[in-house]
Amino acid sequence: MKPDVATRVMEELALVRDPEVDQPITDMGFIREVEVQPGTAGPRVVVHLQLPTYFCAPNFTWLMVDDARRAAERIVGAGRVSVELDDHFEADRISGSVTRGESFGSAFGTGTEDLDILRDRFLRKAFLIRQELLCREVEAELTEASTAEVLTSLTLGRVESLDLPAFTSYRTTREELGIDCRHNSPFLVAADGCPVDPARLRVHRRSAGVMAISFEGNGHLCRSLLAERVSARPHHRAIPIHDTRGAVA
Amino acid sequence: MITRDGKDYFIVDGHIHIWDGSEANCRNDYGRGWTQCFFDYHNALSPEEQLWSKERFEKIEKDQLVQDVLVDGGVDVGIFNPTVLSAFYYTGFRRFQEAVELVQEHPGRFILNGAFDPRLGQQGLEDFEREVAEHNYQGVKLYTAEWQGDSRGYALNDPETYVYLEKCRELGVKNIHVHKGPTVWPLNRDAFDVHDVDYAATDFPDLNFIVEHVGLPRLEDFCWIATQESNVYAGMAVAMPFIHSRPRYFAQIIGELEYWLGEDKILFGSDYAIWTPRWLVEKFLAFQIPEDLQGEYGVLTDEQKAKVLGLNAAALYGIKVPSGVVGATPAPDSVLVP
Repeated sequence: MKPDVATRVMEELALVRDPEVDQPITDMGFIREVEVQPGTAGPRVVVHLQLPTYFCAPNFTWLMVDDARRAAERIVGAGRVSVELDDHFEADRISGSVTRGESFGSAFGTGTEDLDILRDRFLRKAFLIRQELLCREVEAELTEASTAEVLTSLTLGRVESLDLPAFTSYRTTREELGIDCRHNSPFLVAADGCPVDPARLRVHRRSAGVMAISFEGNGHLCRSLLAERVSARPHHRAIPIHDTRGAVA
Repeated sequence: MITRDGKDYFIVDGHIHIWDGSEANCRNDYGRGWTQCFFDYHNALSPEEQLWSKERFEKIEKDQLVQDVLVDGGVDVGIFNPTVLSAFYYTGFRRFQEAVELVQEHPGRFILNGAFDPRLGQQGLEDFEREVAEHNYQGVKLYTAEWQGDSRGYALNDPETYVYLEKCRELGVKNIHVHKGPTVWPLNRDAFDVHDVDYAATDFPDLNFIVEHVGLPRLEDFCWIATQESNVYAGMAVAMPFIHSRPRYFAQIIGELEYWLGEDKILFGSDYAIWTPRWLVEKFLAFQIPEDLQGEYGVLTDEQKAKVLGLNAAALYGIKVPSGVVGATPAPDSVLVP
């Protein structure tokens, strides 16, 4: 039997990530409800989204709300989705504009500004964190990999051949950013895709490490704050929060 | 003063508030949202036995603050870092008059920092100068996400802000506490971007920039900037309570700060009344880096803890540290008895 519309929408929503913590918005507990309204031209979907605070930054909020709309539209079609943002200071503007398919710039009167730079910046942070996670797995696997020279001389193909758990999601992000994914390309690269100089490896990895701590900590904080908001509204239907923290730092 | 294992620690709480976030003072839903957000932080990160009712939380009275911070808290000196928010609250979030009275009623126990808003232009500058003369501010607290008219935030390196920082330099207001909230403008940048601190710290090397909440949620950017600039400090408010709810994460934060900034640049703050100082200080004194992280971060010594809890802030604010406390410079005439 084909899964129902709400389930399929949830599966798509699980592909939307909170850019500040690099985790799916479904795992973060941001999706309060997926409401399916039957219609003669096919179902319409209302996604209810609640963030950890009333003042969550509008630009990141926009990215998640807009991504959630696109995700649900992959199931029910364009123009058949609205995303309701609960209890947020810019809820009306963001929900309304995203549902109408308007641009961020027109919604906030910022002209042609869009959020590509912001999205790119945080995807690169997520990439560096994933790379650091993978690098730790590589170190544990290859005892000879402990020196900077050995680590920086590894190729992507060599790392892939180790078949480590962190590889797949790492490669996906690397590809998404347009960083060279050929077998003989260097494994360890900086945020701009350039190889890391062995002399800089220590500070590079230390930076990636603190980034991982930061993302993970923000994830803790967001979950804790959201739990407070949800517990204050006991009658609201809540989709459980799955805690997937703690892989990296 | 807090005593542990027979040793006395001098405590400066670098970040306290006296506020009125009550319904009666809320100008709009933004004010209600702000108070609720603070209360959510309180509930989310406090130990069970430290939880307050909303009624107690939303408006802080003077006698309650004295009890929580000085009497029960064991704090030697508390520093008020005001959050104005006049777009959200009729009389502002901070209770200015009450803070002024506390400074007068408890000599040497409280320091009042000012605030300015660069978008208020020449008039604001004159008002600020008058206030500095009246209250002898040594520092200011800036909230860069504050709303003003149509503006939804500003940056430290805006030309208008530099005019005010020049004034701080001229008047000897040398400690600039920066709270990075989610600025709504410019919208295509990271809302919590701390890079403006980098510019300002370079251009005003004679001022100290204390980044509150250690730049959270951008610890990584903050650490990087603080490494480049010798006049950038870490304010621990909001990071402290993780010592209870996420001790391992706390160890990583303090470990990274020790690594990137060093032990002389980290300042304790409770963010009272979101949290009370006593339990934070007690837990910090009892805290140690978990064994499996000690290879990376080492251990925290009593002297390092003493610096964070009071000595570093005392140095920035010229507070006299009594002899005999951990980390105090021995008096010149003291004699070592074998």
